[in-house]
Amino acid sequence: MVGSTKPLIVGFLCTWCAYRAADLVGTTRRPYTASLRPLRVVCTGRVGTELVMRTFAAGADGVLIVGCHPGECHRVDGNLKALRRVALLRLALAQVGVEAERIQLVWSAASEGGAIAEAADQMAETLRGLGPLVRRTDVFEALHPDGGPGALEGA
Amino acid sequence: MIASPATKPRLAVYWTTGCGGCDAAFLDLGERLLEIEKSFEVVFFPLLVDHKREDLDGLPDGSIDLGLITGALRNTEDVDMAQLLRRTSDTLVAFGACAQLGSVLALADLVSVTTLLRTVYREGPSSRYPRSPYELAGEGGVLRLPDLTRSVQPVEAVVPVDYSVPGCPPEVARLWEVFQLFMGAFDGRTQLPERGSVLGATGATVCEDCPRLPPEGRVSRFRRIHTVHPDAERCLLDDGLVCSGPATRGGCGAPCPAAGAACGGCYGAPSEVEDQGARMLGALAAMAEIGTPEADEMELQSQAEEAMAGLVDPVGSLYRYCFARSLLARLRQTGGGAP
Repeated sequence: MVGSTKPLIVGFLCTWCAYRAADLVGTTRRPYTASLRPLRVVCTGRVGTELVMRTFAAGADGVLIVGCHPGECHRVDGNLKALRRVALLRLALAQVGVEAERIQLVWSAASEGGAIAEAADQMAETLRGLGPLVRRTDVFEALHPDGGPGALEGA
Repeated sequence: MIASPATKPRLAVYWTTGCGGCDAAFLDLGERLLEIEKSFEVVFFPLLVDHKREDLDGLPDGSIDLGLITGALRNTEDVDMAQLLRRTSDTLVAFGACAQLGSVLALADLVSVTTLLRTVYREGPSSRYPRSPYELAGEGGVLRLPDLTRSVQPVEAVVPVDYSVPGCPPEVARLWEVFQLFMGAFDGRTQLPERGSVLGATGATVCEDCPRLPPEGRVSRFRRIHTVHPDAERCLLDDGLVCSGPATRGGCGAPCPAAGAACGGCYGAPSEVEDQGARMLGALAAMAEIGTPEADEMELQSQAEEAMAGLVDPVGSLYRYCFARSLLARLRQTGGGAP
C-alpha cells in the first residue's frame, strides 16, 4: 500500500473473481493506494443499497464494488444486480450532492489484479480532487439557478 | 367500566408543525370522541378546546397520563412544546408520520433554510410577504414568529418517546384501537406493550394486506403516476409505478394500492429495516429489466441507466416520509444550513 489513507475507499470484492484478483495484487507485490479497504463478500449481488449507504454514512469517501465480468458471475447474475443498484444509488445520492464518481463498479477476472489496483489508484486520485464526502443542500439551486419552476421573473 | 372523575386519566393532545391531517383523523372518530371525553380528563387539546401553553406550564412533572404529539419539530416553539409535554406527560406518544418520522416536511432539508425562506417568501408566484418572514407588524405591535430549526426532526430526535403510531394520517380504525388500548390499560383491564413499540400497525409490510396480485418482477422502465392507467389487478410495480409497499410497515390495510395509487410509504419502515428508502431502492433495482448477462457491457450499463431514468425524483419518491432519520440525512453535512 502506498500514499495516504485519505480519501477512504471501502471496497466490496466478490470472493470468486475479485478477491482472488486482489490476492494476486498482494502476491505480485504490486503497490496500490492505501485508501482502499478491501472487504470480501460472497457476491456483488449481496452488496445491498442499505449497506452502501451505511458505508457512506459511517464516513467512507467512496465505495468500490468489484465483481466478475457479466456472464461470468458465479451466482448467475449477482453482478448485474449490483449494476442496477449502482445506477439507482447514483441517482438518489446525486440529490444530496454526492458525486457519481464516489460509487464505482469494476469488473474483474481472477487474473486481473492489476486492473483492480489501477481502478483503486485512479479512484483515490479522483476522490482526492473532489475532497471529503459531504451532504450538500445546494443541489437544487445548482440545477435551477433561476429559482426553479414557479419562480416569477424579476420577483 | 368508566373511571370516576376523580381518578380519570389525564389526556393532552398537541399539534406541532404538520398539515392538520392527524387532527382530522381525530375528528373522524366521530361519536367515539365522546367516549374519549368520558374516559379521560382532557387537560390540553387545542383542536377541541381553547387551551394555551400556560395551561401546561404549571403542571407537575408526569401529571398527564397520556400525551400525544402530532406533527414534526420545525421551529423553536415546536421543540419547546415537545420538551414541555415530555416533562408533564407520564406516557408520550409520537402520533402520525410527522411526529414519528419527520415525514414530508423533512424533504425541505434537501435545500438550505436560506433557500427555503427565499423560495417561499420571495420567489413564489404568489409571494406577498413582509420583508422578514419572522416579523409581522400590525396594529397591536410586532408579531414575532419562532425561528426555524436547522432541520426538520421527528419528536424522538429531541425527547424520548414511549410509543409511536404511524400513518399519514393513522387509519381511524387503528387510532380507535390505540385509544381502546390505553383506556383498557388505565382501567387495569389490559397491559400496555413494551415501551418503544409501534402501536396501530402490524409487523408485516403493506403488500401483505394488498389485494393485488404478487409482482411478476420485471420492469423495463419506471413511470410516473400520471402516465399510466394502472391495471385493476396487477401489482402496481409491474406497471412501472414506484409503490413503496414492499418497504413499508403494514397496518393501514393498503387502501392506496387497492385504489390504484402507489403506496407512498407513510407507515415507515418495518422494524427490521434501517433505511426505508434504501430498501425500496434495492427492490426497484431488482425489478429493472436490463437484458441478459451475455449482453455487451456498455449496452448493459446504458440499459440500466435508461430503466432508472423514469424515476425522476428518487429521494422525493422513496424517502417521502423517512428522510429525517435516513442514512442519507446522516451523511456529513457542510455548513450554511442554519438560518
